[in-house]
Amino acid sequence: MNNIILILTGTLMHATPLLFAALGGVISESSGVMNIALEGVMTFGAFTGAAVAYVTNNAWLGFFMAGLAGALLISLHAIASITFRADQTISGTAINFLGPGLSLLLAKKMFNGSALSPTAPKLPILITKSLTEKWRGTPLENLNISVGVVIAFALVVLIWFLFYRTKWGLRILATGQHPAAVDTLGVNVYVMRYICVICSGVLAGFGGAFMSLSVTSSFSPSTVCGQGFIALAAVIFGKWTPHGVMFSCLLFGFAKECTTILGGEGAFIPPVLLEMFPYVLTILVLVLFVGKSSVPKANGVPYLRGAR
Amino acid sequence: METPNQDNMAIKMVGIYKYFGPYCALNNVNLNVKKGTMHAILGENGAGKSTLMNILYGMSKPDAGQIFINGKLLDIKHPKTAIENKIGMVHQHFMLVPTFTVAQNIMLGKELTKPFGVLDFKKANRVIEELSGKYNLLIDTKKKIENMSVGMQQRVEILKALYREAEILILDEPTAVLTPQEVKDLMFTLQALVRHGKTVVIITHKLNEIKQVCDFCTIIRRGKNIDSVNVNDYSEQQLASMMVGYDMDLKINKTKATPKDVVFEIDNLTVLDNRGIKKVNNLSLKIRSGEVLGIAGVDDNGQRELVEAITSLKKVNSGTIKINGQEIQNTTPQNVIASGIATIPEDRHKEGLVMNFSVMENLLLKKYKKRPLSKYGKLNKQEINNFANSLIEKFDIRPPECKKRLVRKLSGGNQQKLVIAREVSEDPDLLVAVQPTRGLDVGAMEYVHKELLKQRDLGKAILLISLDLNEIIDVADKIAVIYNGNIVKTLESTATNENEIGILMAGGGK
Amino acid sequence: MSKRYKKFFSKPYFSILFAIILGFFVGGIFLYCCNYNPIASYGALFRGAFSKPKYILDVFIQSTPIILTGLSVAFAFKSGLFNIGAEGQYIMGVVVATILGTQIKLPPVIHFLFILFMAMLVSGLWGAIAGFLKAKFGINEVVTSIMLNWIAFYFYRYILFKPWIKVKGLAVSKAICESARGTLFKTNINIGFFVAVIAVLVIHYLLYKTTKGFEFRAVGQNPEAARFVGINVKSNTIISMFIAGAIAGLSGALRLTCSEFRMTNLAEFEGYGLKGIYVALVADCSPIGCVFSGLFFSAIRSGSISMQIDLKTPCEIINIITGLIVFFISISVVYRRLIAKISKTRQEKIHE
Repeated sequence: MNNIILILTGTLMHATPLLFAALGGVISESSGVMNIALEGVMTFGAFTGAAVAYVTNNAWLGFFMAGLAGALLISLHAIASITFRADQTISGTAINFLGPGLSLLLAKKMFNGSALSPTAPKLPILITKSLTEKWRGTPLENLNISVGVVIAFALVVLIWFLFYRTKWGLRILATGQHPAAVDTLGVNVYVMRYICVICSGVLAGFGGAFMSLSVTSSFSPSTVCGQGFIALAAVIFGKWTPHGVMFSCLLFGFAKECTTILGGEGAFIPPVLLEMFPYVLTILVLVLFVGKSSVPKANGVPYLRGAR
Repeated sequence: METPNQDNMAIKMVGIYKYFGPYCALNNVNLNVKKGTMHAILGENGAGKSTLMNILYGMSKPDAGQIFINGKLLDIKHPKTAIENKIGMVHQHFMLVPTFTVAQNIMLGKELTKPFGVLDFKKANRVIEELSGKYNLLIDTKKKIENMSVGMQQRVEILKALYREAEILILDEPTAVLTPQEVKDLMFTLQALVRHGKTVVIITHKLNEIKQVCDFCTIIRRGKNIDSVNVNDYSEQQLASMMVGYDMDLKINKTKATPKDVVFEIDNLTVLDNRGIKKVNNLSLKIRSGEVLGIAGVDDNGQRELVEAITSLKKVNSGTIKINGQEIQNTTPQNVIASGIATIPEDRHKEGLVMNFSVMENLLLKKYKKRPLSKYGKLNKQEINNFANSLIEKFDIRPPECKKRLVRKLSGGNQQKLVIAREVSEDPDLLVAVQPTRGLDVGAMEYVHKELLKQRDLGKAILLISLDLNEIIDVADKIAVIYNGNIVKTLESTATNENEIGILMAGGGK
Repeated sequence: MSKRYKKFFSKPYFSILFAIILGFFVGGIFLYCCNYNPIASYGALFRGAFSKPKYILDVFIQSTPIILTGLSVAFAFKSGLFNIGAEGQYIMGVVVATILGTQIKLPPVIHFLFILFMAMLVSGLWGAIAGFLKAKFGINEVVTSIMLNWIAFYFYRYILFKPWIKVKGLAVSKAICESARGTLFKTNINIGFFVAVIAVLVIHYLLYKTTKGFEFRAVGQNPEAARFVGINVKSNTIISMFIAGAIAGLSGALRLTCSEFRMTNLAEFEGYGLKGIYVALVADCSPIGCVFSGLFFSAIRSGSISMQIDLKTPCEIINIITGLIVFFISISVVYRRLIAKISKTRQEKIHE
């Protein structure tokens, strides 16, 4: 029982940063803008979160500033890909260089030449002390869930509702499927896409901040370490739906948690090979489960009014 | 010609100019459309009709000129303004989200909602049903667009405009993809709309339709106004001459075919699409050398899959395809080409040409492995130059010094000449031409038709697939009508008419 | 004169040059905002790259791996693929070179060439996995390549900690034997750069003078049309990724045999594959251009180190400038349009 609770908390912990970023990816790609930039934005978010939280000694402020920073950084991608109709892979790649570059430069500037931030305060955990006291001795005492986890999963519900029950969702999905149709009905495709891409920046920033304010409690150059790319895979595996993405992130989180548990002392599989597991799993999952039908049709295609 | 009353004008466009780079697409064009009439805009492909209407609908910005709607000067920057001023447009390529339902598509952008932007589907369905009842445009609001016929999709488009309370309805080439019967239904609907006091503008190059239903007609040629006339005062022939600028024969002169042996044969062919639906269903046909077989049919009745099966781009589920007695189903595109089949594909931009390659490289696309153009895998520059020069000259691809020019910089007609040059120079036994004149002007169209007949007279078998029934009747010797993936009947082109084929195309042959 | 003028400004290298200048300019503003002197910093950067023959030699030596990963990415781009997986292919090259360099004995030159060959083969196959998955299942090569990068990364660490290759007590591998090295006269001068230039010329020839290269380019520009004229798109995709992988593997093998000689413990990616992306972009995906853009990035990289030492300007500014350059290249169509507009109005004036 104790183990199950541990695995559960671990899985949630690993899944949450991915989930934030992947939800961002879903929003952006549903509106038709490919978002390979999640990695760079997450890194910048992780830095901003840790730095602001350290300076102000307020984890929440750090968390929200990370969202803002993510939005600022991704707006470059938005300008390039929406207004200037750039190749979205290339402008996304530019962000992936800029995000870590900015983070490290600013980190060195702020922390006297060190790329590592000092320890910052953590986001609060859901279970209060008094409750833990009450549950002492039961397996529940290990239920160590950050509030950030709850936010991420609440966002899944929120975005699902937004997408499938409201007029804004209808417009977002239509923009990703057939932008010209949306345009001829008097809805501004560019505005829709800008909003979606910037939201994805906010969410990816949150994802990064969750890494540096909850999973660890500081920023280092390897804090994000490829999770933005895994989030990208989660978007595809989740077939561009919020609920699908939630399950794929849980799966990746679980795979990651397995490496921690199975990789302990005396493990019969070398820990390094276990660390490969999530990546191998991603490829297998892509091979086995991905159909082409669910891709937003206009994903990655710049929109130009009047062009056929 | 009557001078219409100023106050009664639904649309008045004055001195419209539009440039695309150095090219003048609209040159001082004027348009006056009287309220409550049906008005045609007649012109060839590329004459500027669609550009003019896109400007009216706010999809494109004019470089100069004024637009008055119901006498009010408007600056229409965006479709939103057009919609607010009760203008609706049905585009040639439908603006429908295929994965959405009818109701979702109609509502999009003007949603009926409960508080907090939550969609109210119940109310939407009710409103749409009321609307469809009023104009007799019956529709299933919960059906997805991707599962509907083209005719029904067009109905959704019209409802979309009416849902936005459009008083002026513009239709861009509305009949291009419909069966003759669907065309009749559409015309009936449009006449009903006019009776309800709406103003209808149709963009078209089909003269018979104009004669049937329109009151007035504005003719545009190469971006310039030619005339605005009362339709009743002019014959089809006269309108045609105004459209193209010279007296033209509406029929091309076709000599009689002299068919010989059967070179190409399809037996009981069945092809499934990705979802497992039978797109080609037990289809059989034969083509002799020296004849043109035309496949007439409404879009999406299996034409695409048939071509893909012949060219081995798609798997055949059962049946055989034979050329010169040799079975070629489920082989590779390379083998199909080697066995003597050449294809002029439907979409020259997507399938026929590499737009960022030069003319020379595009001509080389099928021949690059053959000697003397290459040897041991190494391209021979000199030979390739000679080869390209000879084809450019023989097929009159213009400008004559275009060898190194990127294909995207050529005109549509010259691009199609290039495709034909490349395919014909393979000296195939069967030439498959899919919509070979799509988007071409009359001159280029004539060239393509003549070239197809020339190849026929050289003893090739030709399979012509087109959605344009007139083209099929003009060019083909035999006409096979396709419906639901099956050939419902094969007719001699001299012994049939548009009406008979139209009924067959709509599935009326059973 | 005006025509020549126009031709010059409409060439792709002009907009790339412009993007580079903009990148440095905006990077300079950034430095200024962070209280560093941009002019002094860039001066130090330049001196650090070119002021001594030793520095210049270093620029050439350091350019070898990124010229090759750049070539790998550029070649894949030309074939319509985005090889973000050069990183993993590079790593596989390093691993193969280390294993073969430490575990087998062969005569000098043969040993070296054998290593290069095997590294290219293994990395080529590694790259071909992404090509195969794309051809067979239609999975975006970008995503699979990223996953393959991480798998290669952990594979590297797995091999490094094998007792038969590791030096006891240290997190490094044994050094490869002398016969496997590509250095000349027992100095750090090596033949890596020349091998890279040869590879560039071979790829240039392949792309523009052979039928196979013609196929690659046709598939890259329009796979749909290539399919229609009977080119096998799927097999071309796999072969292109194999070649791209082999080039990146060559990069890794040369890096190891010519300057590193042993595997070291990596905490994160060395980034040669990712650097290949901007090398290729700045070269406008021309193979020969990769040599120059590789040298350019190698120069600012080695200059940035002395800039950090001399003026305490953090060398991360280089990453920012690079990101900016890539960003400005991605929107380069804007200034091409702008130039077209300017030259048009100028022409109109002449006509008036």
